[in-house]
Amino acid sequence: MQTSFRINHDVRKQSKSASLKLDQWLIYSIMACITVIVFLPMLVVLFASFKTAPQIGNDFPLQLPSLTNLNLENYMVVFTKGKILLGFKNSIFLVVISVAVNALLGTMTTYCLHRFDFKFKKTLIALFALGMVIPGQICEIARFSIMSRIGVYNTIWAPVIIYAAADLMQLYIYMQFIDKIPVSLDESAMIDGATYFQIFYKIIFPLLKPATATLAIIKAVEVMNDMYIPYLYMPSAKLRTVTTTLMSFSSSQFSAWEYLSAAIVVVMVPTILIYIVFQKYIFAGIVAGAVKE
Amino acid sequence: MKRTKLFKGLTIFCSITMLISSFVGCGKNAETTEATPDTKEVAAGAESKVETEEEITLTLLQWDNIFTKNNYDVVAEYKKVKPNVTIEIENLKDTGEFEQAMKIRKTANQMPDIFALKPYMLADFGTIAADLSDLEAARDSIYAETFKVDGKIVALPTQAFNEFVWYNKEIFAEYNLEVPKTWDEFIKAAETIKAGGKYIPILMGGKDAWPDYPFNEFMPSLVANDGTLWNKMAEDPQPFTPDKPFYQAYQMIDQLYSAEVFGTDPLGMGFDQVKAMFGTKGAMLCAGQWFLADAQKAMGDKSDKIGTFLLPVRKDASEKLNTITMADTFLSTAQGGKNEAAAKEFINWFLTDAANYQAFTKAMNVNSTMKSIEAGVEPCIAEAFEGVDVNPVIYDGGNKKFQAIQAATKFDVKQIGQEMMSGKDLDELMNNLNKSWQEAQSTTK
Amino acid sequence: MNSLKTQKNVLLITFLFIPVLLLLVFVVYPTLKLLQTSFTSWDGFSEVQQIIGFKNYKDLIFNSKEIWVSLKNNFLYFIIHLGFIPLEIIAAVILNSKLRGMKFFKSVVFMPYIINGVAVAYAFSFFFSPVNGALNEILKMLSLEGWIQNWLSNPSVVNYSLVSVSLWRYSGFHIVLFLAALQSIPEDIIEAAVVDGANAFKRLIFIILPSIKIVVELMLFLNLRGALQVFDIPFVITQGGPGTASSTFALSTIQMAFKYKNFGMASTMGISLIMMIVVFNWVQKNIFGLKEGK
Repeated sequence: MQTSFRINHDVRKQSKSASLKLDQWLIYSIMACITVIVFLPMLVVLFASFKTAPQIGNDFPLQLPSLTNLNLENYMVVFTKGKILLGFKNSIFLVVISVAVNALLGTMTTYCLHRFDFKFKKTLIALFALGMVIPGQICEIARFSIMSRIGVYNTIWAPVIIYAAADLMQLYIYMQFIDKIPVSLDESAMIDGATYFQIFYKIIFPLLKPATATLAIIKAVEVMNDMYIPYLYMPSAKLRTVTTTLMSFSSSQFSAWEYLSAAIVVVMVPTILIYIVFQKYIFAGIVAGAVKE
Repeated sequence: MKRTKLFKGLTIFCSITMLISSFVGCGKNAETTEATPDTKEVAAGAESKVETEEEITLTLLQWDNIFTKNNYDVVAEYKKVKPNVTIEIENLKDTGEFEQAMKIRKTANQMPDIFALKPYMLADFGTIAADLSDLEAARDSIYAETFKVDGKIVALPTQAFNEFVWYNKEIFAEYNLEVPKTWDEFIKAAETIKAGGKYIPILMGGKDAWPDYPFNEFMPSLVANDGTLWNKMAEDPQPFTPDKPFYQAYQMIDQLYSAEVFGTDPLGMGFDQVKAMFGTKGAMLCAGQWFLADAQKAMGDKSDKIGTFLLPVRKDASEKLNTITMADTFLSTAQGGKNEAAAKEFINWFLTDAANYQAFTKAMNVNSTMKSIEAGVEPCIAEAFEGVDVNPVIYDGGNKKFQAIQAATKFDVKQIGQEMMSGKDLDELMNNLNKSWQEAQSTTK
Repeated sequence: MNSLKTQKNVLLITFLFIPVLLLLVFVVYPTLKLLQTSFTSWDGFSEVQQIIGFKNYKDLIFNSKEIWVSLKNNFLYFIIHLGFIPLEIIAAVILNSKLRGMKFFKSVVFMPYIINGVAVAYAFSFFFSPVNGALNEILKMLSLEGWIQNWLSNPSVVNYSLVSVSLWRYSGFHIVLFLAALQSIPEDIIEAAVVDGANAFKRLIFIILPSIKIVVELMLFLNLRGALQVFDIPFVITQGGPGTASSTFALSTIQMAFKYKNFGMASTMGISLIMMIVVFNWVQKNIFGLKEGK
């Protein structure tokens, strides 16, 4: 069955290929433009990271740094003075814990909201919506007081608690996916004697994995790049993250763009690498077989 | 099997729940204990002995790495003298974010043990700072009396500095320019360089708003010959009328800005961008003493060509030249903080230990604020004062009343500077300011 | 049956305990606090918060022209991003196709979103710079000197420059969200439509769009919220300048609180922001004929 279908499919594709050529050409040229637009500003940073301060001031920003006499001093400063490795250690810890807890809370909430009816469901959704619309920084005074009162100020747990909370966007995406998991699957498991907890643990959570992967990457990126929260809640030097380390190279009067751009590249490269490694999970999609009844 | 896994999940879940509730429980205890010392824990003098064996960690909140840069590190210096005390630096990017963090932390009772303050922050944070009058450092400070808050010395400045016009001597030689002695000569010099077409006469990172401070913030005080001009303005319902110093200063600034000597688009570039052009693409840059390190970096091996002169805010070369003297980066500690005594001891040490203080002023290239400690001055800075009859004007950030009116009218001189550069009419600006000022001034106590 | 009910209740309580706790502590409490402060003249510093009733609200509505002017900038972000949503959906559909190289392009479009905010600000400051700026140099290379602008200092251009940065940063993220939704559409449905002879356009309108309705709805909401809360991009690139030309509502709020020391008014602005999002979202939903999702 399957093979015959695939052959069919290919034949159809071939017959259409001539008319598709123009479209394809158009698509590729648009994509090429987008690629250029995406990379241009990033190249500015990359090139600057190999330049000296006067060169940054006087050269055309897209001029390649001299390759024969590569200036690596900026990177040396970032690693030695910036102690960026400590920043990585803290950031990774933060990302792993927050993303894990966040995914767990997100899927659990989704399961409850999608599969069950209960009294305050609408209120709960409204509260999640409220969470999306409250203006962050102006509410910081209230939030800060709570953090300080529960004793997590200046510990790594303060940002974890903030990041772990699921937001409405995540729930929306999860809802979209859980909607595609047939309730009959739950029901047949029920007949086999599974409890609700087991259904969540055995069926829902695994089947939500593709959504979790996408959301986890997005969350990880957000946590990795967030500046304000670690900055405010963990001022201790021992708790600096990559972004707060980056900030130490940027200030109003004394910032040194050559160091800052090297720091940016150092921060950027691992994020991009992680992204490239994990991106197949982002775009994986639901494994069709698992959903089929 | 299934069941055990489920149980595992449940136990993890319960332990998380308990962990969180224990946090909340902890918090309640912490709150009550925090409240008690508040009742009255009178700090018994700064020099009271801090037990030598006791390990203390003092947090120091600063911006811009002011106490930890250019190869100076206050943490290491203090460790040498007081091995049991660890200074933990908490750094914020700039004064704006510093102030924001201080306010948030104050509300939540999480003040750092020691904090730095800008002169303008004294009006607010001075009121919660501990009295430092009995410190040796306070007695020896040149500026302590000038910056009293409610009659008490609550903050001690760590650096004093002047404002300069930095320039490349080679470019001045190229155009046969002398150091300008009057405002007109200054504009003339800039116009000469502009006419040459090779260099931006004066670099101005106008996109950032703050770099116009040597003009828009300081010149009214210079014209008035009064560092406390802001406080006088707070008492004046219409300080922007043409016969008042503010207007006169702004007329001079307008004259400079309309000469368009900041390049084609001064508001399109930030300070970071222009500072790297100093001496190469640009001939002059107006900034404080702190700019030296940047100037040297930008000029590279031509650093010996760096020159300075004082911004010639005068009509006639025979007048005395008023120039801003900043006392800056004040150290304070919060009233009734749990490490108040140790914090005071640190502040006292910082300013009275000659070896440490000189290392600091040298690293920062600033002048001493202490009567009995000299700080060496770089020759390229000393030359600005040669043969000039200088009258220092000590700049005051403005008292509480001024700041209240400033907030109510959203009076922001640096933003006005941006608007002037983009060509707004001066008289219209001044008229509007007068109007809103009068209204706010009459309602502010 | 009864045991099933107990089981359900136990599940709901255990699963929702932490999320609800977090909501109460970090959403409900700050909102109530915000509401309370909005009726005071608190400066963010004093111990006492003087209650002044609805004065802040009156002042905001009748006496704060400049704040409402800054909302115009928010509108610009809103409308341009809105116009991009169809393009983003089309891009997602293209990237979802099995054409060669789409994997690579997928990675590329999402890239700007994973770049640090400081890096973005820095790169674009140089990109738009009047001296040595990459954009102006490129225009010169293409002999389009006439197009050269004071990108960040001309009050009538600066907002467009900043919106383009926002597009650069967030479009890829939107595309990826659309992609995630597209991938949740079972492939056989699309295949069936192909077999039935539906062309690409028809497939888009009749199959794809209805299937990703919930994400489109989310995106409209995110866009509205994003546009009304724009903060980072103007803050890091221009600080709202020159003057207040590129200021936004959120930027004015923060300045009101910390620079102009009026937390009462800033809270009032915060509450107004929440109300604006709620009202506009309702209007938007009605315009686009979307009903409450489940």
